[in-house]
Amino acid sequence: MLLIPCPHCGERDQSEFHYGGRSTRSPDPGNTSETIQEIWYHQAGCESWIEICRNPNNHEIES
Amino acid sequence: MKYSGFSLLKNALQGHRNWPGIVPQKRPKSSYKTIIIGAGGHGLATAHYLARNHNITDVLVIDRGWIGGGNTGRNTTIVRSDYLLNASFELKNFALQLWKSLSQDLNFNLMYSPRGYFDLAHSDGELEDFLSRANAMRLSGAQAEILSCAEIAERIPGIYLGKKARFPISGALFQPDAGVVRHDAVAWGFARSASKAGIDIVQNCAVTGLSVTNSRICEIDTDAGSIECDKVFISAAGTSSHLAQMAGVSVPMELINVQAFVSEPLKPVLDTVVNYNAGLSYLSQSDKGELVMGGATDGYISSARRGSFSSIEDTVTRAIQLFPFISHLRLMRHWSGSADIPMDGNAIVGGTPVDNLFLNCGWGYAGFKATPAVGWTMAELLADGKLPAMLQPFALSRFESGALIDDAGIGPYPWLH
Repeated sequence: MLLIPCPHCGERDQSEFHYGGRSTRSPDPGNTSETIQEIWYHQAGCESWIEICRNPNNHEIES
Repeated sequence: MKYSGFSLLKNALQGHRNWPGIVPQKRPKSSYKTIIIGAGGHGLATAHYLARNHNITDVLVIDRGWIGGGNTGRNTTIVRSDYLLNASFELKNFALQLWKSLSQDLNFNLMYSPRGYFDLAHSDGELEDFLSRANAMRLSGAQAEILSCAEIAERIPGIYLGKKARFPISGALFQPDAGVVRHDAVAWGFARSASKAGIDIVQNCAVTGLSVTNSRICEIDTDAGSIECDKVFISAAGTSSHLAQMAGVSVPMELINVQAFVSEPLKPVLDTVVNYNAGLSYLSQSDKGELVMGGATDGYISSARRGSFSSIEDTVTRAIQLFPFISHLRLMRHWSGSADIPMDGNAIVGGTPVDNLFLNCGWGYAGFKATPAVGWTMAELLADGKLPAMLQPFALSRFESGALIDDAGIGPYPWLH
């Protein structure tokens, strides 16, 4: 389960969000050691799109 | 050693202590004609059919992990061919024909059980859509039936068909010869057969580089040193795009987590496979009595093989809608895998811009059922150099030409990953 840091609402459960995918193109999407830039829509919260940087291999989120 | 009633009796008398190993531990040689990267079902099936159909045995199958440790051992073992478009249908239906006699061909019990598959519709509109799919299947020679609720109730006692459900059931597409196959046995059966034919299988040895000169790979780098080769075939599911990138080939797909789990064992309650379509939840009962359940992807990019609790909850909620009596069951085991999903949700199979590099990936969470057909056709491609007609729609070049495979019938919507 992801806890996503929303700049307006604080850390919120991932189920409140809708996934928007990558915000930058990756030349090597299979490389799982690098973190990815992605956008999430806080549907059940403040309704804003937020951008986070997440490691898809261990789900750590850098803010 | 050939497995038979006699060999079973002989080994039983010896207390089952003297069964020979299935696949010998090997170090790779310094050169091979063909190298298959990925010892999952697809890679091992390709090795098996290279030996069986084309008499080619100068082959190495190399894997960073163990045999069948990826998506081959992480699926819910369902095999079926209820697809609308010819491209998807033909390959999977060919596989379904191969599954029928594969245990005998491999001399390995794959526990193939054609117990039927119910794809449930939740509205009249959806049922009409299923009818067109069933008709397409029948025109291509497969069996498919559209069943009413009364017929479903007769074949699946215990299913809730009342109108109080959040998404009531209005009928089903039934494919009688679909079913389940023991997934680990598939990997081991193909590995044993390939290895008996003289093909080397090397486990726990990662490929670290592919060196390309003049648009050809002449050598691959591995944990066990460099190995010369004539042809390279990448069949490594989620890692495929990273491997292809080593040769400068970019593959448009993403990794997304999919989860599956089993309940505690029950007495026999379900002798078929059922798929709930409002959301996704597919169920069958294993020979041990556990209910095997799977759902949709977690929906975001992940290679963690560890998913969100919310999608477990979703899948279980849907399963309980179908079978209310399972609400008190506990889940015994849970696992996930990284599904490799291209933008049109269909596999990428065939050649690449590098002359002697071939690719098979992007099967997402639909690859297990196609295993023997992919092995059969890829072996043909690797042996003759000609792309079999069945694989042509799955070429990597479709992302340049725009000939995407639109199974969902939703038009040019490149977001299926």
